[in-house]
Amino acid sequence: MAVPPPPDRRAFLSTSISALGGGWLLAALPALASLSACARDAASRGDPLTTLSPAEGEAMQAFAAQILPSDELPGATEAGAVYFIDAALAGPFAGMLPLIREGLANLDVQAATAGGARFTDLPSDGQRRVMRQIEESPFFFSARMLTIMGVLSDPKYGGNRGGVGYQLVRRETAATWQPPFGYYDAEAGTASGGAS
Amino acid sequence: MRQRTYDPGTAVDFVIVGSGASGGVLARELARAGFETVVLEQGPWRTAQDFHHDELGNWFLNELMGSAADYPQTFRRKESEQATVPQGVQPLWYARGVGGSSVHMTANYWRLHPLDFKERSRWGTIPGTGFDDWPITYEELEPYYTKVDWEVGVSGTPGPFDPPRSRPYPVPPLPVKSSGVLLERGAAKLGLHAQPAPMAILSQEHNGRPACQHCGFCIMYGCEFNAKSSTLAAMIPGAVETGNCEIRPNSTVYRVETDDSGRATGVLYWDEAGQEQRQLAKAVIIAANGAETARLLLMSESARHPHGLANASGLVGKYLMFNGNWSAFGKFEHPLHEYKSVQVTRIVHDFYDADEKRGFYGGGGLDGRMTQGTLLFALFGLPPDVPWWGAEYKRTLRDYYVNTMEVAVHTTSLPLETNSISLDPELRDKWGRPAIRVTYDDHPDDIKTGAFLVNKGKEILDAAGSQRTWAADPGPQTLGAHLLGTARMGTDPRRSVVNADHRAHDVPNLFICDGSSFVTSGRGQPTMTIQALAFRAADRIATLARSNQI
Repeated sequence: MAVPPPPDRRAFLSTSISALGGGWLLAALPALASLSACARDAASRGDPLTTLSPAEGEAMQAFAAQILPSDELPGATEAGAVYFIDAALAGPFAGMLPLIREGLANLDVQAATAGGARFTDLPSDGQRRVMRQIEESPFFFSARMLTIMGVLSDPKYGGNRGGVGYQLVRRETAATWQPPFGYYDAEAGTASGGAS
Repeated sequence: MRQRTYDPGTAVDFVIVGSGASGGVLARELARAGFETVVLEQGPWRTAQDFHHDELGNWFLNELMGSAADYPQTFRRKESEQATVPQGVQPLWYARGVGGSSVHMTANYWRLHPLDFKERSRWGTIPGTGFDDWPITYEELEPYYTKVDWEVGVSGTPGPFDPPRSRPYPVPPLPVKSSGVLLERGAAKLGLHAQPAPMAILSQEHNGRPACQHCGFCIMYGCEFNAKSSTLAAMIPGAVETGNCEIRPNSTVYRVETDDSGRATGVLYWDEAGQEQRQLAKAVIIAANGAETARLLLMSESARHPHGLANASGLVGKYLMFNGNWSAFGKFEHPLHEYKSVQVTRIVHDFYDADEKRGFYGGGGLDGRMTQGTLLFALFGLPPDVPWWGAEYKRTLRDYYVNTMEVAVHTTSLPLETNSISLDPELRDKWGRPAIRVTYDDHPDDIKTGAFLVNKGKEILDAAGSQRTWAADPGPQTLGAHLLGTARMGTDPRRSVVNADHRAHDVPNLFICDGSSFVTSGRGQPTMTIQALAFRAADRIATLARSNQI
């Protein structure tokens, strides 16, 4: 599968796709079903990863926890983003695996020059310093994207456990809705019809 | 319901290529008129049960559109450039499957205005463009717009800038959302006139289909409730019920065959198993969308038609128009929860017509909405100066997502002969067809129109009380979901591909009817007009067939 190299973020934002809200990856694969099946199998935290090695998984988890940190609200760790990523790298995003592997290894190289043995050994602010140095790299773009997907995609893909991603963005969850939908239409009192 | 089936080796009255916005209407109308009709659709026949609330699957994994690996497209801005496969984004967005892109459409159903059909008479020629009048008028099309309202199913109520209509909407507008209230509020402060959006999504039960359940998954999703008026939900069942129509999914047409007299005899296609098949027909109708239709015509070249079928004018694939699509965003004090219900409930048409005082040609409409789902917003939606990872990113994402709305602008695109669909000389799709090559560069007036309206969008958001308003500057577009103009209608065979009956100038029993028929672009919501044209074409074609004029 040919996964395109990630575009430069700033160039990307300037294109009409961001205005349209468009999805940028059109590299679909029929591996979707197997992805959600294997994500379900790994449903409990602490399960071994099947694509990434244990060391890669730890580095990925640390990276993800810097993208969406845990504070008073859940972050990538609570969402189980690394399980989404592990399954996705064997499924629809398999083409990114070499890029992610190389990037995770490079985090350790950068960490060594920053005085830590491995990226995961660095204190939190040290990890952030390393990440800022590679912020414009294809690895960073892709790993960030996978992390956010692991927090906000449908839980059937293995991340967003317990819907914590939806809580994070204050999205209410229900299959269907009835008006009023939001503050301003409720305030306008048009909930009963809107045909005015 | 079991459908009637036809033997491909016996000529049916009509074979229709494509089952989307246009093909679905043509199939039902011609079958109801008593003609034996076979519809060949390259994608599968899904049902409402196959659709789901899954942003990753629909927006990123292309469940409805098909993958870039199977169906690559290439893009270039200028004819002098080498077209390449764009990084990540396919240039053309359309769904494969019964119902075509009407399945995943947003369902904004704006009629064209009377002026849209005769803008060249109004504004004169525009140098370097194919700006022209249509060979039909609004008045001729109006009864068919009304058919779309009632038979396809449109919710709405007339607004101050609407063209005349012969009948009210069948069902009232959908309930207003916060984006609609705020659009209305901002517009009113600026002296503009917001109006309820006409949507092909049912606000009440109609024609045996249920009302919208406000799940919020419309744009890029199939409707789980059959409340969106796709042809899959609204037309195909009626076509099959006649007993005169076979919908044949997973059938990829790659050639229209012609005989020595220059008449079409049928089409060649690959069936689901990849076997070559030939469907014979007394007449062929192509309704495959403005990209696939052009590719099929260009692939159907022969000694008699050396530049592609129906292409004596050389205009097949030319004059591609996307409409302009740009946006402004505003973050408000309180939650809007725009992920609920249909995308759009209010629109502003004050700037629909062009105005020479602006100093450029162009016009358009604005609407209030939030296109981006949760995932897209988290990935790409925040203002550009917000950190894109870490604690502040997370805090801002939390503050902004449910409090943000978009004013989307939809604009004219001038017809340029250099903007086109053509056959990529090297790349092939999974069937071995030449990949669709897109050449597209917006006319400077199109960009100016976009900038003008994005600025209006920002003013509306500010007037509505936005705490933070932002927008990217409109620039050249690299993708299109509206595929218009590539087999344009006209009376002069040197300057158009089909006549006012959608009959190919060069092939008497070949009809072409979809977005490719457009002469000018309208203001960005073409599906309503594609379907009105299809209802009208069905009437014309049936009349011609009955009087042995095909």
